[in-house]
Amino acid sequence: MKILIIEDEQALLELMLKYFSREGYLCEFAGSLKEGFRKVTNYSYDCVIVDLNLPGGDGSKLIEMLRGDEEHNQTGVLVVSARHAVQERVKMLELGADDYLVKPFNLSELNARIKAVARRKTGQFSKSIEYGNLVLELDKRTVRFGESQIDLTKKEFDILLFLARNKNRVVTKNSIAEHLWGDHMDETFSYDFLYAHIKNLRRKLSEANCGDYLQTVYGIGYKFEAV
Amino acid sequence: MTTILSVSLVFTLLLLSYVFIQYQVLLDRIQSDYTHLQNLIEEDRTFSLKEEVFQLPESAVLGRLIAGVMDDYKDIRQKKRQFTENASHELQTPLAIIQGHAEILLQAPKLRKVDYEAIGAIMYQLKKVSRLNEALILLTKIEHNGFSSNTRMFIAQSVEEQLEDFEPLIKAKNIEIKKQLPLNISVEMNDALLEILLCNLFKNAIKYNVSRGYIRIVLNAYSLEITNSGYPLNQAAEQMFLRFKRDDSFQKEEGLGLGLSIVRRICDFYQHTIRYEHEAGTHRLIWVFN
Repeated sequence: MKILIIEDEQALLELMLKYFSREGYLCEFAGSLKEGFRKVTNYSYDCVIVDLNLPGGDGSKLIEMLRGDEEHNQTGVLVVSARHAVQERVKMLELGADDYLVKPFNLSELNARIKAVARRKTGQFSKSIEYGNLVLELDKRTVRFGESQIDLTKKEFDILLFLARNKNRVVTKNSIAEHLWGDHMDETFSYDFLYAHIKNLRRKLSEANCGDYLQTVYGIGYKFEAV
Repeated sequence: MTTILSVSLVFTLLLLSYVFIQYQVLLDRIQSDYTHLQNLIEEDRTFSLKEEVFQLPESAVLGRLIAGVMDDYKDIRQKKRQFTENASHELQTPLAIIQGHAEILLQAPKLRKVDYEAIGAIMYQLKKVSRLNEALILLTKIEHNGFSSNTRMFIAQSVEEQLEDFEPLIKAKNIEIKKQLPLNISVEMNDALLEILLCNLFKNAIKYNVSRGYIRIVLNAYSLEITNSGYPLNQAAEQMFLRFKRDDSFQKEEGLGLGLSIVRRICDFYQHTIRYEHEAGTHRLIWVFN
């Protein structure tokens, strides 16, 4: 998958490049609006990650340009910005952005969202995610192990999918809690609920005899281990 | 090594936030002095800045003095707003970068338990600094009329939206909701501010509730009352509106201690009132509309 990151903060850009190269994405970058325009005009990407405050203008201009053009209709657009007002988010989605993430964000969250956007827009990722005999059906939101169906609640499915999209990485409790309940839940507030969901999820997976995909990492978080 | 570096970075950030808060407190004091002065000017005609008063020699001196003070004050106010805005926004990016590096560090092979604990602590504190920062940006924005567009908002509808958002937590804690929400009652206010206000009220009502407790919501033309079961307070209820005052009966350090002061700011902004009543573990917040 080919992604373009438009971000003028050098340190943040390097960080994202480092993280997503490990994910196996082909990453390109631009440090200004102008450079961003040039790149999307000349090349095609599966997903463009764009900051709003850029040298040379507002990142929203790039969304308008991409959405005003047939050719780029399939390109996923993910806005990453320090502006956290709801109105700003609504405005960007109305312009045609596929998702909006507020800074500072968790890289695991951005990673999961890139995959979700890419799947919706380009069909880059298939309708299911498979790890050995464990199959997550994304459209139906169901899980199978071999032939047997595993009944998960919405939240349990969301946790499993989030961890699976960040497979073989440690994902913090906080990232999962924010992914499930959004940013306005305080940590300690939501952890109790998270533990309960994880416990049930584990029980259901083990009842289906599908082994322990979920690892607990020293009280900091969890890891989906796919062999 | 990386860990020590990150810890000192977080420490620096916390220190910076502390200085920043002290600065705010100082400026708040100047502001209240100024408001007092301004009231004096408005009340007392001899202090009027009208031209005829300037013609008297003594008043002219006084007038110039006051005009000077006012200019200084406007300048300070302007600088305060700029400082808060800049400091807060400039902090967001380094915070994002530290957080990202901590996440990458977390993926390193062969980490020991102590390493995980250290990284966990960094990320936890970092999250706190960043929430603190967001809350301060919000407080400053309210103070400087950053939310000026008002619309007619129906309270019942907004309350229902909040309850829907919090439903998983309400269910998980087995809290019973009793509500009287007439549909026709509305206030003129900014939609984002109403959302923030209600969200903070309900968050507290759920967070500090007991398992199998209740929340009672009563709306009438003049007020919205939210009553909830909970634990007894160890301090005067009114103290809860002060910045960084949490009740110390909670051992776990949760929350920022800014939720209710944000609520009060919003009420002040619209000249509404908010009261906190408490009796033996029953908590009641009464928001009286203008």
